[in-house]
Amino acid sequence: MANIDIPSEVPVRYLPRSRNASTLIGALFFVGLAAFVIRLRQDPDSAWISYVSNWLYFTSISIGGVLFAFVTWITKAKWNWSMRRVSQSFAAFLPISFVLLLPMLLFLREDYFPWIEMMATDAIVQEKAAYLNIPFLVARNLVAVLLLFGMALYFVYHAVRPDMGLTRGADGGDPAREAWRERLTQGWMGQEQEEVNSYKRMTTIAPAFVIVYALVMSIIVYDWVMTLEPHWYSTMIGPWFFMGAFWGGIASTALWSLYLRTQDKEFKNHIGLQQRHDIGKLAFAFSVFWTYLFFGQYLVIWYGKLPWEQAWMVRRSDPESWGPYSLLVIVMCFVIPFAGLLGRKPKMKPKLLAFFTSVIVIGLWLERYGMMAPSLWHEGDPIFTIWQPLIGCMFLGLYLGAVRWFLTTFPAMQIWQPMGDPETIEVELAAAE
Amino acid sequence: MSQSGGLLASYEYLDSTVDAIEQLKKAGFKGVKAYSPYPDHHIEHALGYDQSPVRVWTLVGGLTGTATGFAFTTWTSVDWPLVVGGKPIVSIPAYIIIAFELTILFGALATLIGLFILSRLPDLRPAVVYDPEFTAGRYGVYVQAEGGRLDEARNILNGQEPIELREGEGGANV
Amino acid sequence: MSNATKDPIVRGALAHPDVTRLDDVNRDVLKVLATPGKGWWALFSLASLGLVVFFTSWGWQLYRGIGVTGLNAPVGWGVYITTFVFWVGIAHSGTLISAILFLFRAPWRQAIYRAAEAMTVFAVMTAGLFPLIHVGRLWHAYWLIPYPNSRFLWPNFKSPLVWDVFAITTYFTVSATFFYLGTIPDIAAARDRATGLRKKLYQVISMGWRGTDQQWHHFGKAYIFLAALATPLVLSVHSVVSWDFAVSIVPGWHTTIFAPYFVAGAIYSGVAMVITLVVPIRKVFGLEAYLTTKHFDAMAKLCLLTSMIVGYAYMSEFFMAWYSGEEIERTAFWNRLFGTYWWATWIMLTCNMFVPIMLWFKRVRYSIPALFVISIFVNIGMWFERYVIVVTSLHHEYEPFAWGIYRPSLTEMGILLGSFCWFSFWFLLFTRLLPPIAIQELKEVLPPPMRKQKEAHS
Repeated sequence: MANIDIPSEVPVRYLPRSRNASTLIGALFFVGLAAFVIRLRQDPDSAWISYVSNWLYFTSISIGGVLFAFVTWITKAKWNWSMRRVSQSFAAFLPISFVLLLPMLLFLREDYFPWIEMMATDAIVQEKAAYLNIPFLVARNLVAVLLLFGMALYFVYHAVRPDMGLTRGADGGDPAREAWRERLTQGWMGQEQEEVNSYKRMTTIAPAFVIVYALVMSIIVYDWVMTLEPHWYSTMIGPWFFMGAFWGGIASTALWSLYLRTQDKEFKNHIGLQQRHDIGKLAFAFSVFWTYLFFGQYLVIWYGKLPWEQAWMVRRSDPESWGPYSLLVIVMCFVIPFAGLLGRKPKMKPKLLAFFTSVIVIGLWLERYGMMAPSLWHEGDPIFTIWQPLIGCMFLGLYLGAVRWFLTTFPAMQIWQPMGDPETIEVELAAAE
Repeated sequence: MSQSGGLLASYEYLDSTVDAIEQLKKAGFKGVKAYSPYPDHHIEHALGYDQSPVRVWTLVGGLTGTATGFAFTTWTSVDWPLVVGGKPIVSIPAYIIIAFELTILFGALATLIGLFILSRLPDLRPAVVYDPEFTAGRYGVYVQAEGGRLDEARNILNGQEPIELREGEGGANV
Repeated sequence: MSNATKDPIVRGALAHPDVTRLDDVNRDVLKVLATPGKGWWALFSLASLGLVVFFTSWGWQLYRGIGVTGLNAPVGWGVYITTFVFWVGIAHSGTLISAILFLFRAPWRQAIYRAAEAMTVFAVMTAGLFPLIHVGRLWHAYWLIPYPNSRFLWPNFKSPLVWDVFAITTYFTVSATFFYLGTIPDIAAARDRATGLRKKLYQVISMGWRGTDQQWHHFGKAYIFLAALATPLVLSVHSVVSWDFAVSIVPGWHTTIFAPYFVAGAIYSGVAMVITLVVPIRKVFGLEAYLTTKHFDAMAKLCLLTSMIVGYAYMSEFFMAWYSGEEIERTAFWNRLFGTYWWATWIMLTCNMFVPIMLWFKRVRYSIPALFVISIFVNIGMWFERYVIVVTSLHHEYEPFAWGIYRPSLTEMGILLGSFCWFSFWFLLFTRLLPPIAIQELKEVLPPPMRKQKEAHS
């Protein structure tokens, strides 16, 4: 049993600011925005498909990463102590994601949702009217997403707050960091007390978050994927979607951590062999789990041969249209990560791990598009156009910018490490009560 | 005493054991063996262990299982082709399950066989020198040496204050 | 938070003043193997008596034929298949605790995994009997095994029942291997304390294990690889069992979530069963120092998590049945809640979803009597879950003229009861013959004895 020792004094390190990176991120955003505007004039359907699929993807990996922070918190994991903050940093994209959801709720109507037109003529769709209607769709999405993101931000706020006391004077008087310290340390009650408070609140909210995550992500995938084919239904779609998101969060945590390693010696030391091995194992394990859920859904539908159920799979496996695309998704999400990360070395070698987690992250991007786009596709349309990644650039820019902002403003390795000795904090907690 | 002999020291402390092993290694003794009540990485480290070849057994066993699973199901379907439930004669989604189960079965059995071969089990010959406290709380170091060097080994082992020092020519049988 | 206050003993899973030396573990665990007490004999006699009931019922069924059960069209699967799924499910948490938690390095597994693994092996042994009982003509059961018969007819590999044969056999073989491998060093420990015939027996079972560096080295690696193989296996086995149902088009069975839903349910029932078994073991053998409230807290949390997954699956099934807009699908689930077998469904929902809500409270998780009671509720609830899935779906399929009611007969009840006794029989023997707590793994979490430390202290 390997013992993981968390240093008693975690060095205060930020992701260095970089003008080049900011320029690049800005450029990505504006290219994406321009692409979306142009495409919206040319072919609004396709523009919105790209918009929604990219929203699903970037929201998935962000909230999935935050879930990873939650899960390692609940299980009192020690090994990922140096990567905790990276997983938390994805929460910075969540407010943006919420804003990006609003146009989807405001502008997408009968041109986008097939069930609106079918409601007039289709008896089966009429049976679903209580669920498939615009007011309820807007209301449930707003409430669900606000609740989920709110809980995530609450957790991350409490994870960052005790660090604000520990970094006082350690960051060279950077004005942006100072301003955020002011904002986050209102009503400061002293270091010890703050740590106890944070630990208590984070531990209380974590299990509830897991439930809310499963429910809200199910609502999201029902509304933005499943109901696009109004006769089709599958109870597996929820778990498949949210476990994929979790996996994407893990893979992105690995990628960002490996990026941090190139930026500073302390990151290089502390995102060590153990951390890489373990996150590599998780990336591998969840690749297998993704395949399991995918296969579990496929087998039941393939075997059952029910017409309304099969249609979804048939559309996606037609060798003339979406078949090769789906195959590519399986290769990227299962074959390459499985074969690549099976051994010990690729999990530990930073370059190989970065390569295989990139394959996973791109594979999942393709997968989210393949989940929803074929349902809105018409015979003769192209499967995949350059507009899909171009519009994706808008989301990518915002995501990279948000995470970079977080990691440059707050210490990129959590200073406050109660998991170094959970027993101690439990004792203090009992004493505080 | 010109023939070779064996020495087995029992220790109460882990660090004594590790020190004894390291000193024996430094003095150039070959065939140093250690006993412990649980797997200890300090001891493994002192003896200089690398990867265990058990992994190869697991991998080869597993791959054999996959191949067998697909080959067997496909062959039996083609051998007597019958359409069942409107499924293709060779239904890969269904055969994935058989292939998967056989991957695990063969992989596990190969691992077990590999372990037995590599760690020389079963070995039911009575031990020449052995301390039953090794499975309780003691650590042990065994060294085999030519007559002349036997005293040197004894000094090293005694230097770490063993609870007991036994002599016996175990050879491979320890 | 400073890390300076680390006490080496508190860091591990063990925190008890009586356990400080490595051989203390041998002392406490091996004493279990000494002469059995009256309580053990009483339980063992009860289990043996139950075995008589079991074999009498089965014998009666073999003599009179499958007609002595309540099985008939349309309900061809009843208590036997329910109980089969129940026992396969029970098996799962053993592998979860021994393999998956091992890979995740959860320290609390060490004290309970041996009992959990033994439970796995015996539960699969119990489950494996049910297909044999259920086929009625026991003497034809070997037809399921692919062998080159006179006409070179092979089993239908597209049939989920044949997948089951492969899954269950593999599971039994691998879990037995894993269990046996883990006990080898402990049997050697028992051997070194035993005398006479017992010593010889243990010497053979332990294969002459001596704890050399070479043995430990390969042992450790083999154990990791077996754990890595057992982890996907445990997912696959109950998934295959779930596909026995889900790949058909029976309303209430044909739903895509079945595989992970069954796996979560299996782990849920299995962890509950571990609690049910470990509470008396701890009491009878005085192992309070090794099985602390922390272990029970962890198991309770696992129960809570899996109960939420199972609850999610129930809810998504009910939602999806409504959302489908299909009359048949909607009726099936309405019938489940308010039809003939409404009571079974509500037992299931109460025991599996509502009772475990109490586990949210720390006081409940730290109270062993409360956990024991809840675990029994979960066991009952999980049996009824399978009963609901099997029976309510079959009795009310598509055509109203083909609907029917199923009532289990006395023979079936005898076999159900007997299966618990068959399981207990083996489990009780296990507590006598093998160390019920993993000695060597507990030693790994104890601080190793260091001379330098000792000299520094004195």
